[in-house]
Amino acid sequence: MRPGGAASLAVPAVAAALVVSGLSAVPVRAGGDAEVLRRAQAASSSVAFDGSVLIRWVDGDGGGHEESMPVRGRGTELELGVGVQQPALTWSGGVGTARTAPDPTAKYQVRTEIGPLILGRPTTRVLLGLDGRVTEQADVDDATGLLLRRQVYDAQGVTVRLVEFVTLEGLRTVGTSSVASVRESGPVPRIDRVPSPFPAPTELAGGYARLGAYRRGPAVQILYGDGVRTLSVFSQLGEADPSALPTGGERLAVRGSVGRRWTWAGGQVVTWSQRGTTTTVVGDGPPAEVLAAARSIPEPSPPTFPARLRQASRHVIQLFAA
Amino acid sequence: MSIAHPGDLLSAWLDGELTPAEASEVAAHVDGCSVCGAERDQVKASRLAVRGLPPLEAPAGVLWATPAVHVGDLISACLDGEIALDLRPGIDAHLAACPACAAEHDEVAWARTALRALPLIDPPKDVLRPAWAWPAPAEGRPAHAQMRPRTRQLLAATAAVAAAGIGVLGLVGREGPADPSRPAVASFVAQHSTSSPGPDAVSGLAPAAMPISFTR
Repeated sequence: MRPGGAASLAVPAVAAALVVSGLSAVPVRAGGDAEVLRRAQAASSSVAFDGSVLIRWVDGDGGGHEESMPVRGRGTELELGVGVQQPALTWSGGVGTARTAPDPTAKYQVRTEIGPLILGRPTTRVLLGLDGRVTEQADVDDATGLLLRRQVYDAQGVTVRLVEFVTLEGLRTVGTSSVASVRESGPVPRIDRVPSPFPAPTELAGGYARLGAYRRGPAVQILYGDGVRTLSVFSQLGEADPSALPTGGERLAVRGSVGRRWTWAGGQVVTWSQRGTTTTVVGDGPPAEVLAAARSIPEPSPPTFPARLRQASRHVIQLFAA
Repeated sequence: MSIAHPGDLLSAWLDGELTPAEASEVAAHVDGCSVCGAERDQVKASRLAVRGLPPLEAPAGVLWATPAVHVGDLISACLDGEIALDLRPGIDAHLAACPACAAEHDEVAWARTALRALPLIDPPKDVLRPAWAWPAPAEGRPAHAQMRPRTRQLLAATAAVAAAGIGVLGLVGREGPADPSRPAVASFVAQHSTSSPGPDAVSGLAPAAMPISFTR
C-alpha cells in the first residue's frame, strides 16, 4: 500500500465543499433520484468487464494511502485483487438478508445531476446529503448502470475514501442468468433468533436497520444497513484478549468501557468488552457515524439461570478434567 | 476588647466551632461592636436564606464527568456491568477525557483477562485425601477414627454430595468468568465486506481485496 498523502485528496475535498452549497440550495427530489442507486446495485451482477480500480483512503491520523488492483466482472461473479492478495477475492453474492435495506431517501437527501466523463463514458452523478452537506458522491455509467467512481466524505467535507475505475475494457450487459457462478463460497448460516446475551436491536443510531443475523464460528454477526452503507456487529462471549487485537488503534470510551478503534481502507472498526462479551463493530460509514452506531448498542443482557448453570457445569468439568 | 474584629471567626462562632474561651471573647466583642453586630446579622440572614433553598439533586453522572474526580473503583464495577445506566454517560466522558483513568481501566481489564487465562492447577494429593485415610496417630486416636468403616463412608459421601451441591449453587448464583475471547478483527472486516457491499459490489469489496491493515 502506497502512502499518498492527504494532499492527494485535496481536490475532491474542494469539490465536496462546492457541492455542499449546491445541495443545500437546490430542493431535494426524493424517489426518482434514488433509482439510479438501485440501478447501480442491480448492474453489479449484470455486467461483464475487465479493468482496474484505484482506492484512496485517509487513515485516522490524516495520512493518505492509495492502491490499485485488477477487477474482473462476469455477471454475478466478481474477482478482485489478482496479484495483490492471494487468493484473489472472489465474490458471487451476499449472505442473503432477512429483510431489505431501508429506502435511502429515508436518511439521505438524494439528488442527481449530469456527471463527468469517466474513461470517456457519460455518467450520472448521485449526491447523498445529510443535514445539508454532501456525505457521499457516486458517478454511475449511463449505458450500463455500473458505478465508476464513489467518494465518501467526512463531516468536514474531506474525502475519506475514493474508489474509481482507472481502466475499463469490454464493459457490456450480460444477463445474470446467463453467467454461471465459477466458485460458490460456503453458505453462511442465517439465524432467526439471536442468542442471549448478545444485544440485537432492530435499529441503531444513524438510521441503520437490522437486515439479518448470521453465525460466524464463535461469534454472531448482525448486519445493519441504511440503504447505502452497511454495518456489522460481531458479538462473542469472553472479554477480549488484548494480545489478540491489532496493534495501534485509538482508545475511546464506549458505554463505560474503554474500547479501541481502527481505520482501514474500507471504513472503521470499533471493539470493546462489557459484561463478559466482546463486541466488534465494522462499518463503511464515516468515523463519527460508525462510533455513534456502536455507542447505541445496548449492553449485553445478564446470563440466564440455564446459561449460568451451563457455565458452572463447564467449570466443574474443567476442574475435574484438569 | 482584647481582640480586633473577629472577621472570619464570626462564621465559625455561629457554627459552634470555637473553643468556649474563643466563643465568649467573640460574643463579648460582637455585643459591643456595632460593625460586627451588623455583620453577624448579615451572616445569619445569609445562612437562613441558603437553608431555605429547595434541595436539588445533581444530574446523574455529572460528578464523574468532572476531570478532577476520578472514577476509581467504578472501573471494576464498569467491567462487571454493575453501573447504573444513568451514570454511564458521565463515566464515559471521564474515561474519554482522563488518560490516567483510561490507563487504569486498561490495566484492570488486562489483569482480569490474564487472571482468567491462568491454567488450572491440581491441588496437592493429600488435600483431596479423605480424613479417615490419613495415618492414625499412634496414641489418642480422634473420635472419627474410632467410627466403624461403614459409618465413616456414609458420612464422607454425604459431605461430598453436600459440598458439591454448595459449590455448584455458588457457581450458578453468580456471573461466572467467561473465557477470554480473541476477536478475529481482520476476518470480521472481510466477512462484513462480503456480506452485503451496499449499492455497488466493486467499490464495496475493493478495500477488502487489499491486504487488510489497520491504523489509528
